[in-house]
Amino acid sequence: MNRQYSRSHRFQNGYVPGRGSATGGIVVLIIVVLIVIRLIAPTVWHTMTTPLWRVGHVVSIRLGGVGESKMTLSSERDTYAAQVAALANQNAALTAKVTDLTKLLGTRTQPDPGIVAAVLARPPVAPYDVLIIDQGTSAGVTLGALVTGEGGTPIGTIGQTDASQSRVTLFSTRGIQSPGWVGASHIPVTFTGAGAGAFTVSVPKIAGVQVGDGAYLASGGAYPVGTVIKIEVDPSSPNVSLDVRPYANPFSLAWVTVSK
Amino acid sequence: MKVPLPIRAAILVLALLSLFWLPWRISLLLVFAAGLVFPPTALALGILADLLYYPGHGFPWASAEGLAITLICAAVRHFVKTRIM
Repeated sequence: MNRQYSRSHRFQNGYVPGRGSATGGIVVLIIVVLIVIRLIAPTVWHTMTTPLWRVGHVVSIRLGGVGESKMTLSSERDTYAAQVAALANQNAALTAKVTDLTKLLGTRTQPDPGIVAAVLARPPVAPYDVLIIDQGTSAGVTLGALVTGEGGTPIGTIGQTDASQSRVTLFSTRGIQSPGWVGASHIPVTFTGAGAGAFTVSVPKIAGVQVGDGAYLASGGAYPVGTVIKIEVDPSSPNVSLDVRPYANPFSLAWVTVSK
Repeated sequence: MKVPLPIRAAILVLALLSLFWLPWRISLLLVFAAGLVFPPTALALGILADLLYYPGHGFPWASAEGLAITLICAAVRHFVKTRIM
């Protein structure tokens, strides 16, 4: 039988242009409209995108709990309770120390109050190592301002800002270099961003850095940013490579403070 | 392979929303799927991702990946179309 393949028959195939292309055309048109809105009316753009990011945050939190058994959750709760108790003790000790130092030095050590901002988008949703926060120039955010996470840990600087949103470039962005120190004796080093909040550092072998030593960023003071978790030794090199695990996990940051 | 229209539409919409909701690696897969439905979608989504997240310095990878996926998907569609005709 000589079968005729009509044009309409071919259109039923999923890979052949047809109604799918029309739908795709509509989606492309929507995206083009979004791009135009972003370029000519950033305020409207922020009004549109902020709810989407907020919904996404809620969805990811809900989905994050799927599949976890009650036993796992109970075990995690106990672990966190123990950690909270330990941190509360440490916090009390540090508070006492700060009070003593403040008596000696006055209020000079008090940091300026910053701008608290909610994180709208963060890695791994953001393909670059950036945070999108919901405060902009109208709240006093300035380009290059230091951004800190929970506990005052520095995490990055403002890379872009407009009226109601800003983008934070993390110190851990792959390839970005930041000066700082490692260890109790504050050995000067350069932190190189390794992505996802982590850093790598190269120091001479004779410096004697050990696993567990603190890492500090130089940003108007020595800010603790993490601890050395691994030391990679290359017998043919006079230096060792350190892997630094950050205190602030960019994957779970909900609030940040932007310095004024 | 026959892909019903609602599924194709759902892939396109999900690819768009994934830029806001899902990890970028999953978004990349969805953008590829959307590119198979209609290749220019991948480039448009790549540019949109850069408008959302580009930090202001460095290479705009999302747009470049969108362009690459568009070209790959266009080639795949052309190949499949040629084979079934």
